[in-house]
Amino acid sequence: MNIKNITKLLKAYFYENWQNDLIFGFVIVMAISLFSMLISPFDAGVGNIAAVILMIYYPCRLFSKLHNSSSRMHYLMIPASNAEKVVTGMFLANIYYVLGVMLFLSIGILLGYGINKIFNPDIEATPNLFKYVFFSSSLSILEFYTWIAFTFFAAIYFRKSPFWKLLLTGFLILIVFITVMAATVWLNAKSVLPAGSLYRNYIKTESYVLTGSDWLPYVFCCIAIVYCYAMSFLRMKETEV
Amino acid sequence: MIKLENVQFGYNANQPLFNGVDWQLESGHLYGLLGRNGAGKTTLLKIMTGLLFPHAGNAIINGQPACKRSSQQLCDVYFLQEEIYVPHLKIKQFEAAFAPFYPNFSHEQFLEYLRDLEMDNMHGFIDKFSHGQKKKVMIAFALATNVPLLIMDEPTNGLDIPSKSIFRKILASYADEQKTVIISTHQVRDLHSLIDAVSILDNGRMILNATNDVITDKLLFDVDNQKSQDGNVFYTEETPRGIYQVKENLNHIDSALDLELLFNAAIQNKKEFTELFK
Repeated sequence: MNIKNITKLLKAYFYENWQNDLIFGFVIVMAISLFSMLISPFDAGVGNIAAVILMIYYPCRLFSKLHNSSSRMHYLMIPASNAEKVVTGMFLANIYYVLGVMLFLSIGILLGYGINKIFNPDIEATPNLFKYVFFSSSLSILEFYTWIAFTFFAAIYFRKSPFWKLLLTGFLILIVFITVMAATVWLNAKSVLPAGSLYRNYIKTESYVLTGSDWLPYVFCCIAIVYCYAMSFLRMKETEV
Repeated sequence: MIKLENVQFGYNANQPLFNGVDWQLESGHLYGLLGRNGAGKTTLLKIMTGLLFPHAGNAIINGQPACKRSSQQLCDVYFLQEEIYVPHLKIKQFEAAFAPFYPNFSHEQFLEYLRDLEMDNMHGFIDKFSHGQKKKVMIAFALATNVPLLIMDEPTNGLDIPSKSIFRKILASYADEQKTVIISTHQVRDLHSLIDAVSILDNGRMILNATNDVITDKLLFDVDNQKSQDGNVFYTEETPRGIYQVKENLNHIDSALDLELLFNAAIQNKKEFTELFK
C-alpha cells in the first residue's frame, strides 16, 4: 500500500467531482435552511436526512465507474493497486463525505436560523448545531458506519441497477439485523430476569449490567464492517471488464 | 517482457475463444495485432493488461501475472481502448488528475502531440468533444505517458484522413528500444509503413508472430502477369494491375511486405505458417 498513490487517487477524485460535490452541498444548504425556517431542524429529522445521504447516495456514487464497461476499464487501469482504490473509497465514504455533509448541514441550519431571526426576532437562541447535526439521527454511530460499509460493498458488487439491488439487499439485511437484535433482547431477558418475570432488567439504567448478549449487536456491527470492506477488496480484485 | 503462455479463455463455457494462445513480445518493437472480426484481438489485449483473467495459462508482464494489477505494473502499461471513456474534465484538468500516476509523463510532449493533432486550442470539457477529438486527446495523453508498454485498440477508428497521417508520424518518432507498442486493428493500410512486427490471431491461436525482417526473409511478395506454377505459393490474388502472390522465399529475395496479402495467406495456410515461423 502506497500513500502517494492514495493521494493521487484522491486528487483525481477531487478534480473529477469537486463541482458535483459543491453543487450537492449547495442543494443540502438550501433544503436544510428551508426546513429550518419552517420547522425546527430537530423536528425536520436533519440527522436522518444526512444519514440517508451518507449511507446510500454517496457510497453508491463512489463506484459508479465500475457500472459501465468503458469507464470500468479506465478505472481499473489507473496505476494504483486494488487495495489502494478500496482504501481511497473508504476514506471518502467514512470521513470526507461525513465531514462535508455535516459542514453543509451546519451552514444550512445557521442560514435558516439567520433568515428566521430577521423575520421573527423572538425565536429561540442560536441552535445547538452539535445536537442537531450529530445526534439527531436515530442511528448509533456504529450502526451508521455499518450501513456505510454495507452500501460501499453493494456499490462495488452490483454492476447493474446497484441502487435497487442495494435497497432489496438492504431490506433483507435489515430483517437479519432485526432478528439478531430481537434475539439479543430475548437472550438478555432470559439471562438476567427471574423466570416468569415480565419486568426487563436492562431498562432500569441504575441496575444495568452488560452481559455477553448486550455486546452482540456491537460485535455484529464490527464484524459486518470488517466483512464488508474485506469483501469489497476481494470483489475489486476479481473485477473484470 | 510480455508473455502469454497457453492462455485459454471463453465467454461461454461451451465456446472457447482461445485454445492455448502463446505470444511473446520483445521490447523495442511496434507490433501489429491482426485478426478477423470476432477473432478475440480486444479480448487478448484485455487479458494481457489484467482486465480479463484467463481460464487457464498465464499472462505475464515483467515477470508478474497481469491479473495482479499491481500499481507498479499499471504504471508500465497504458491501454487506449477503442471505446474511449473520458471523465467530465477539461484537457488541463485531465492531465493534472491522471498524469501524476505515470512517472515518465512529459508535459512538453503532451502539448506537442496536442498541437500536432490540432487539439491545443480546445478549451471545453473533453466528454463534450466529438469521438475523433476525444480520441486525439487520449492518443496524445497515451503517448506522453512514455510507458514501456503502450497498447492501442483500433487507434485510427474515428480519425479523419489528415489526423491518421499525423498519428503515423507521431508514432514513428515515439518508438525506441525501451518501448513496446501493440496496435490492434482491422485497417492494415493505416499501419503498413509503421509496424515492424506482425502477430496474427485466428481461430483461438496465434498463427504468426514475427518481425517484418523475418517475414520478408521467409516469404516473397510478388506481382506478376501470370500465376506461378510453383508448389510454394501460399496465396494469389488477381487484380487489374496483375496477380499478387505470396510465396515461400526460397532464394531470399528482398520484397516489400504487404500486410493484406500476408494476412490472407496466413489464415488460408495456418499449419504451413505455424511450421514456417516456428
